[in-house]
Amino acid sequence: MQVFTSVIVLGLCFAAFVLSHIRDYKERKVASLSGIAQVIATNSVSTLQFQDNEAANDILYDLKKISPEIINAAILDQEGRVFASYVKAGADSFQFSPPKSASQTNEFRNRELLIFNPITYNNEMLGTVCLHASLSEMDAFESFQYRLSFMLLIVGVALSFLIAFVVQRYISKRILNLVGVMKEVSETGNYKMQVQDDYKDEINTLTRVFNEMMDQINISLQKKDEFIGIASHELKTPLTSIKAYLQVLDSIEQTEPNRQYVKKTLDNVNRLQQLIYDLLDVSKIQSGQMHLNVTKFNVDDLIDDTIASFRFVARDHTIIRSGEKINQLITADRQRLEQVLVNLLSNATKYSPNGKKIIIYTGKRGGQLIISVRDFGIGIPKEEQGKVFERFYRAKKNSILISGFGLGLYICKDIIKRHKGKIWIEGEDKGTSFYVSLPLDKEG
Amino acid sequence: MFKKIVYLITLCSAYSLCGVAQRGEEDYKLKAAFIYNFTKYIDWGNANSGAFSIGVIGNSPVYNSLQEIAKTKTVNNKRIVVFHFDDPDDIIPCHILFISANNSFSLSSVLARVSKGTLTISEEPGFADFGTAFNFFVDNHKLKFEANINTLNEEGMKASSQLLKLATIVK
Repeated sequence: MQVFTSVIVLGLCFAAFVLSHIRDYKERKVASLSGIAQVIATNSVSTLQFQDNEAANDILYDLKKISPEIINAAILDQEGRVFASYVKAGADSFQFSPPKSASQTNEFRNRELLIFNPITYNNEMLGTVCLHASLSEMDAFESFQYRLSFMLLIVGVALSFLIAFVVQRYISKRILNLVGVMKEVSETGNYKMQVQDDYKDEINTLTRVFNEMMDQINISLQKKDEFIGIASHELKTPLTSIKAYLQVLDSIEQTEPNRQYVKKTLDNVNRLQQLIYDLLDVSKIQSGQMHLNVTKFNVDDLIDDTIASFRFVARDHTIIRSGEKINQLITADRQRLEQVLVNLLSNATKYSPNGKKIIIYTGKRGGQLIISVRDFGIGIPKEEQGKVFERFYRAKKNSILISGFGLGLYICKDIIKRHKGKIWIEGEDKGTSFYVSLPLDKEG
Repeated sequence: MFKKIVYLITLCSAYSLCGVAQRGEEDYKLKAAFIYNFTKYIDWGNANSGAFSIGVIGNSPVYNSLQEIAKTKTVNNKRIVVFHFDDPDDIIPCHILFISANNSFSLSSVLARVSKGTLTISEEPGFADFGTAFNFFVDNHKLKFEANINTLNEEGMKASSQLLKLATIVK
C-alpha cells in the first residue's frame, strides 16, 4: 500500500517535472529565437526602406553562424512578399506566409518552430521577420528527460520498498503484534495479557493505553468476581439454614397439600443452592482458590453411582450406559468429576425435552478414559459450539425456556482442565454429544 | 502604305516612350522616398529652423514626388517644405539639396552655392567623387546610392551605420 502510494506520487511528480521541463525548453527556444528575430528586425529596417534585399540577405546569412538550428528565414515586406530569404545549406526551401494575426509571434508545428517578429519604424509596419527552426534536438532532450525520470522513478520505488521494509519492521510489526494480542484476548478472555513496547512514539502510546485499558478491565473483573464471591457466600449461609428447616418440615409434615408445598419449596431451594454453588465455584476458579481433593477410585463406580442417583431426578428420560467397562483406577477429585457428569446429564435432559433417551458411553483410547454423554434433543449450531464453554454463555435458540446462569459448562471445562483432560462437543442437529477425556492410572 | 508604316512606327515609339516615361516616374518616386528615408538616418545637429527644407535644382519629377511626401510625412516632427531652384544663384540654405541630372549648370557651380549643413544628393555617375554627399546610381536594374564620407564629415553631419552599410562608400 505504502509502495503503491509512493509509486503513484512519484509518477505524478516526474510527469509534472518532465512536462514542465519540456515546456521550459520550448519557452527558452521561443525566447532565444525571438531575440534573434528582433535583432534582425531592427537591423533590417533600413534595408526595407532602401529596398536593398542584398543587404537584407546578408543579414539573414549571418544566421548560419548565430543559430545553426534555424533552417529557413525570410523577411517579408508590407504586402507579405518575400523580400529576402535564407536557406541553411542542405535544407529544403520553405514557403513562409505572414502570421495570421499581428500579435502572433510563434507557432509550433510538430518538431518545428516558426517565429515571427514585425519590422517597424516609428510605429510604421515595414515587414516581418520569419524564422523556421528545427527542434530535432528536442527529441533527444525529451527522451533524455523521460529516461532520467524513469531511472529516478525506479530508484524512488526501490527506496520506497526499502523504507516500507524498515517501517514494516518498525511500525507494522508492532501494530500486528498488538492486534495479535487483542485477538488472543478476545478469543481466550485472558485479560491479564500485556503488550511490551519499548519505543517512544504514537504506537507506544497506543500500546500503553491498551495496557491501561486491560488493567482497568482486570480491576473491574476482579471487583465483579469479589462481589460474586461475597454475594454467593452471604446467600449460601441463610439458604443452608432454610434448607435444613425445610428438610425437617418435609420429614414431619404428613398432611396434604402442605406436604406437596414443602416438597416444591425444597426443590426450588435445591435449585437455588445449586446456582449459588455454581457461582461460588466460578468465583473460586477466578480467584484461583479452586483446589482438587484427589483420591484413587474406580471409574465404573463413579459412572454407575452418578447414573443411579441421576435417575431419581430425571424420571422422564431413559439413561443408558453403553460401551465397555473400564475396570480401572483413576486419580482424581471424585466429587468434582461427579459434578461434571451431573452437569452434562442435566444439560442433556434440559435440551432434550419430552423424555428421550440419554446414552452415556465409556471407553479407553491409549491410556485415556473417554466418556461421552449423548442426547437426542435440539442440538447446538456449529458456530455456537466453541462458545458454550464460556462464562454466562447461553444457547441463543430456546434459551429463554431453559433456566440457568450458563456457568455449568464453564465450571466443567475448568475441572477437566485441572485433571489434565479435555472436553469437547460433537454433533449439530438431532442432539449433541459432549466428550470428556481423562488420563487413567497406569494398569497394574 | 508608307504612311501606314510611319503611323505604326510613331505608334510603337509613342508606346515605348510612354513606357519609359512610366518607368522614369516610378524611379523618381523611389528616389523621393529614398531622400525622405535618408532623413531618418542623418543627424543634422542643432538645426532649429521651424521646418525641414528640401531643395531641388533643375526640372525633375522628384520635386512633385517630394511634394506628395511632404503632404503626409514629417521629419523629426517638423513639416517638410520643398523648394525648386532654376539657377544656382537662387539656392537658399536648406537641409537637403537634390541636384537633378536635368540642369544645365556645372556641379562645381552648384556646390559653390551650397551652404554648410546642407546634404547634397545627386544622380549622375561619379558625382559623389566630385563632392556630393550621396549619389544615386542604378546597378542591375536596382536603385542604389554612393556616400561620400568626407563630404558628410565636412558638412558636420553624422550618417547612421544602418544607412552607410547600404551605401557604396566613396572617399
